[in-house]
Order: sequence, then structure tokens, then C-alpha cells
Amino acid sequence: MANNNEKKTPAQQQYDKLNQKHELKRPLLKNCLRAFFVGGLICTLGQAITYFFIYFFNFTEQTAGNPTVATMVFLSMLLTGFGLYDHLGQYSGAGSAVPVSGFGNAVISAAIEHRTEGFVLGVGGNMFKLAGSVILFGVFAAFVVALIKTILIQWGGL
Amino acid sequence: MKTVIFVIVAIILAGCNLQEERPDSPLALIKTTNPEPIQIEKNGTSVEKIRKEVEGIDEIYDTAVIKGDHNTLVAYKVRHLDRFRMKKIEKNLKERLEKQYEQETFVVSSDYKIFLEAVRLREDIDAGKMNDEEADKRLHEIIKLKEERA
Amino acid sequence: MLGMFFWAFVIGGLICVIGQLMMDVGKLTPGHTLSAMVVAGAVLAGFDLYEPLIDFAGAGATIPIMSFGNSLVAGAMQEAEKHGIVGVLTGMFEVTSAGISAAIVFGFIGAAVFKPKG
Repeated sequence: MANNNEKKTPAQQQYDKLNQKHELKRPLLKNCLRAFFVGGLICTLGQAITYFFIYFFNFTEQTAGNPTVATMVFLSMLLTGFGLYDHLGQYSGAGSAVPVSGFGNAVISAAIEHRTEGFVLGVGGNMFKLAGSVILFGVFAAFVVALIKTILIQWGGL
Repeated sequence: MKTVIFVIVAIILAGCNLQEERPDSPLALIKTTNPEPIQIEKNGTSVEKIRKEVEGIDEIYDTAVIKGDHNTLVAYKVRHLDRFRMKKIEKNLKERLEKQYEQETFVVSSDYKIFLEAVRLREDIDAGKMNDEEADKRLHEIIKLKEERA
Repeated sequence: MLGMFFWAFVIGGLICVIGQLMMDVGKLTPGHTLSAMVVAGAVLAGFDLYEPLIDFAGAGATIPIMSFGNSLVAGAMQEAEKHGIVGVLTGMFEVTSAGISAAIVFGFIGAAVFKPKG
């Protein structure tokens, strides 16, 4: 964001400087510790769910990932619906945003928020407002990576 | 906020409790079980020999061997810091076993689920619940599970 | 197995710290951060580095959104092995669908059940 400095008026640049000074005061270490603990706990919970599926259903370590992710998104729906996930997000920052439950929260909260505009235009149209870019860049990056790799394997004899 | 953490911890603990109430082989994944190998098909290589061979490998602890009519299943656990190289260990072990015992077909897996099912099968056989034919069928189901991809 | 929980906690936590650093130090919005992580996951998958991490840390590697990029690549490569270059396009969602379909289904149910706050 700093690279479009030239376009700004001196007053704006001064504001940016002031802004930066205040932003730097955010307690980095504390944020990271919180992200670490909450993110770690969410992943530990995910591990527990994975073992639950391995023990009680016919899933292997290889295949248990999908039901685990679905369960995490389901839990995230409950927390989002009761307004708890936002509190968690304020406390832990990336700790609750980076796990897949954060992705679920982004989709679900958008869906709930726009319900008043109707199911087709409101829910359907806004659901992926926040998560859409994740899907777009994920799919496109995966396409490029897989394409390069396939070409290397087929014609490069990798 | 505290309530959220409390709820999460409670869920985790509840999960652990559920697992502990399971009557058969509940601790197979937590501690070293070293189940006795199973020999459904009585001819050919002895399972004890295969098991010794596998346990001689440094990265591996806890081995379950089941020898059926067509396939021999070798399930094992990998020491945690070696799990990064798990796929390679699996490949090497399969090659090594197939070279050593040419007449056998090996299915090799480090998946906890496969190990757990092997222990459960062992327990059911010990309890006298099944004959050789049923045991072989169960073995085939386990192998099918292993071949499933995510 | 208990080691699995420990490493899931540590690796999962560390990936979240990387996300936090991108937001705090790199001044990225959450949207940029998550997109960058998914791209990073896809690139790591391209070098066959993400699967070993999953073997090692279990849910610590599958739960962070990075694994979305990994499973997209895994699905594409799986299909590419069978059908060549066309498979790259068609196989992409072979493995990944769980996260997205769950988000869509539960999002819709959530919207029907819960009332918007504030």
C-alpha cells in the first residue's frame, strides 16, 4: 500500500505518517501469541475430530480430512450464528481467521447479514463476497502450479 | 471469551472420554500395542519372520502383520519426527519386503486407521468370533480402505 | 497419537502466527492474507512439500486455509495422471469440495435459521 505514495498530496502523506505511527503501537507480540494459542487450539480440536472419524467411522487418516473440515465449518456456523465467532476474531486475529472455520465464518456471516435482501439476491449474491477472492486465487494458483508440473512431468521427464 | 475457550476445551475432553469408553482396542493408537501377527493362510512365509524384519527398521515401532490368502498386510507406526518422510519409508519398505519374499503380495500402510483395524481384527479372532474365511474377508475390507484416496 | 495433538497445535499455531505477521507487519487485509496463504499452499504442493507437513502435523496442516491450495493441486495432479493435461482443469475440485460445499450448505442453513445481529 505504500507504493502509491507519489499520487498523494502532502497532507495525505502526513496523514499516512501519523496513521503509521499509531498502527505500529499495536502490540505485535501479544497479537502473535493470541493467534498462536487460538489457532493451535482450533487445529487441536480439528485433530480430535479427525480421530473421532477414524475411531467411529470408516475413515483413514487420508480420507478423514474432508469430514473434519465439514464439521469445523458446521461448528463455525453455530458460533457465527450466535455472534461468538466475531468476538473470537477480535481476540485472536489471524488465529481464528486462518483456519478453515474462519473461511466458513466469512461465508456464513455474509449469508446471514444479507438475508433481509432475499435468498437469491441477498444470500446467494453476497455469500462469497469475502471468500470469493480466496477461491479465485486458490483455484487459479492451483491451476498454474498443476499445469506447470504436468507439463514438466509429461515432456520434461521429471 | 473465556466461555468460548471453556467450551472448546470441554469438547476436546468430551472427545477423549468418548474414546476411552470404547471397549475394544481403545488405546491402540496411544500406546505401543505390538499385536501378535495373524496367519490366516498357513502355508508360505511365517508372519513372525516378516514382523521381525519390519521391526528391525529404525523409524518404525509397533507392527501389525496379517497374512491372508492373497495379500499380506503390514501396518506400522512411524516415529513422529520421521513422519515427514512417511511416504518414502512406506515405499522403501514395500520394495524391500517384496524383494525378500517374492511369492507374497504386500500391502504396506502407516495409517493409524489401518493399524487400529488390524488390532480390532486380532481381538475378534482371539475372542473366537470368526473363522478363517470371515477373517480373510475382513482383511480384504481393510485393504480396500487403504486403497481409498482422499 | 498424543504427539499428533502436540504437533497439530504447534504447526497450526505457527501457520496462524505467519498469518498474523502478514496482517500486522505486512499490513495486508484479512482477504489479502488468506488469498496469499492459499496461493502459498498451492506452491508448496507443487514442490511436494505440503503432504509431508500433513503427515507430520495432521490437522495442524489440514485445518489452516493453506491446505485448500494444496488439495486443489492434489486433485488436479491426480486427474492429470489419468487424463493428461485436460485433467488439470477437471480434477481441481475432486478433493477439495468438502470445505466449499460445507460452507455453502451451512451458510444457507445459517442464513435461514439465524437472524442478523446489530
